Amino acid sequence: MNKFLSILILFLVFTGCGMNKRKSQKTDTEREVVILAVNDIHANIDNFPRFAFMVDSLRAIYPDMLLVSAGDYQTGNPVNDQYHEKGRPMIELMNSVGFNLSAVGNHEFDVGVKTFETHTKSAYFDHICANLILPEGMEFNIKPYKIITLPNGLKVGFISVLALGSNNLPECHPDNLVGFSFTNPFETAQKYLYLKDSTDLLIYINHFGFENDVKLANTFPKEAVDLIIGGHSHTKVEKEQIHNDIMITQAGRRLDYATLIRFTVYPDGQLNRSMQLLTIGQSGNEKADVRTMVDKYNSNPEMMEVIAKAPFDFRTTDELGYWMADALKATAKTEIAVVNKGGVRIDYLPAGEITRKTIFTIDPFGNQIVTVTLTGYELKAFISNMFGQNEYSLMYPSGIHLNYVVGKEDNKLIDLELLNEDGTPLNMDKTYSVATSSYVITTADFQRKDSGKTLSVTTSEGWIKWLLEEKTVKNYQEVKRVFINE
Amino acid sequence: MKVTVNKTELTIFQGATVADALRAYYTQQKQKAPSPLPEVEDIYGNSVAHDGALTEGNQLIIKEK
Repeated sequence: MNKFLSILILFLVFTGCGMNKRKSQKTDTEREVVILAVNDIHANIDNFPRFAFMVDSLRAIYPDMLLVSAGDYQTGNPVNDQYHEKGRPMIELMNSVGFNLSAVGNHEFDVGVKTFETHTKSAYFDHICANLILPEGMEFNIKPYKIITLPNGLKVGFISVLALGSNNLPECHPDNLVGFSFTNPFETAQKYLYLKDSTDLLIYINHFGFENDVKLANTFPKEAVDLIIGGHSHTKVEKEQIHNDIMITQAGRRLDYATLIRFTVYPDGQLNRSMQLLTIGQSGNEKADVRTMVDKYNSNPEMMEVIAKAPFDFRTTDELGYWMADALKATAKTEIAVVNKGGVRIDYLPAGEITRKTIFTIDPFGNQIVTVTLTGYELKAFISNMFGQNEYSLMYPSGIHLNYVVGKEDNKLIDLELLNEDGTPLNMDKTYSVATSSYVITTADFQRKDSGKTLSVTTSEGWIKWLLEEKTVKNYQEVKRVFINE
Repeated sequence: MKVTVNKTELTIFQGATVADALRAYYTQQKQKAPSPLPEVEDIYGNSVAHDGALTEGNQLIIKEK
């Protein structure tokens, strides 16, 4: 063994591997802070019975364990998202399991401004976000930080920042952000470092993405921050990630995992830390009363509630595709919408009652609505490219008509005409707001200036919202917007 | 926003997920995206779920089978 390694091993033996010397109240005994952290639950209520059992088991060992969420507990399961009070099941489940704290993720806003306010007031746990300025005149229970004093006297400070897009807003439908404003997460995070003076441990619980958390950790002064618990990027951190001497954790998503974090504060102020990624998994012991709650939500009649009536049958995929495109255009408030043929999963729907389940059956993919500004030429290139990807891959439009000219023998696209709804040629030099799905825009290979942005609403959710307003469905049997000429 | 997959820079819509970036990557490579999509990790070696949110500058690496 070389001399350097020998010295290094001696150093680690005497200093303690994974230990830091920090300021702390002096006591005669070592004290512990135990945290169970999850992130991006995305309304996966079906894992809650097992998760609740795990939490109870750990609390039997660590009675003062803190249970925290790094944001985005909402959105991702129609049973929760379409509940009569949007997202209510998640609040009730998190209350029942005994969360102490949640960061605000971008999907917490999805329930709407008023409902989100209600959630923050009816949650037994605190919501925190430091780079969020709340709407005036409302009573959100969201604070920039929270200091929790444990029974052993240790004070743990939690601060949170939320990721913003290039428009300085979180990824969320703009209608759900009315009245909120946001500050730069990197700059805001620095402003709360003073809390280190009044706490024993300072922890950031961010909804910021793992790579941003690493960047943030590298901006902090030495020994100012003890831990970053992360979310947003759905990163599964299995092994200790230490950056600028700060541990960064994240536990995948959808309650597949949870991270157990332990700090031991020694009488001399030294600190030892460790993390372990625990699997919640698909099977195992469950907490009975939480299972009862989940079963009740899953049998929710909301999914079978009639939201509109169709007076005529939908006889073909084309008719359903035009309907879907109209829903997309109306929801996204664009001039044009295009839907791919493969995005319509049924080819017949009888006249009659339409439920939420009907819409999720036609459009089960969970793709996001994306809006993009395109010139007529860019739009033509977009739709032409989609045609060529799979044989006869047609697009269903709303706001325009399409005239495909296809080779007789090889079925190759010879030309594509874009027409206004009255049949006149579309002005190809003009720019148009266009809505489509996240799937379509990422699979299309065409040159454009605008890469687009998501509305953070799925195509099916937007469709349901539109139907709830419209109540009736027009007759699509006479609608024809796609023409094929050989 | 710009992200990279296997060191290939992609311009992708704001709010895209890892799955969106993978589909855009295969489209740019003129390849059909495999189904299911391959597993991905970040530059720190952590696994990243396909529905994970991306932020500006994220770097993804497709895991070798």
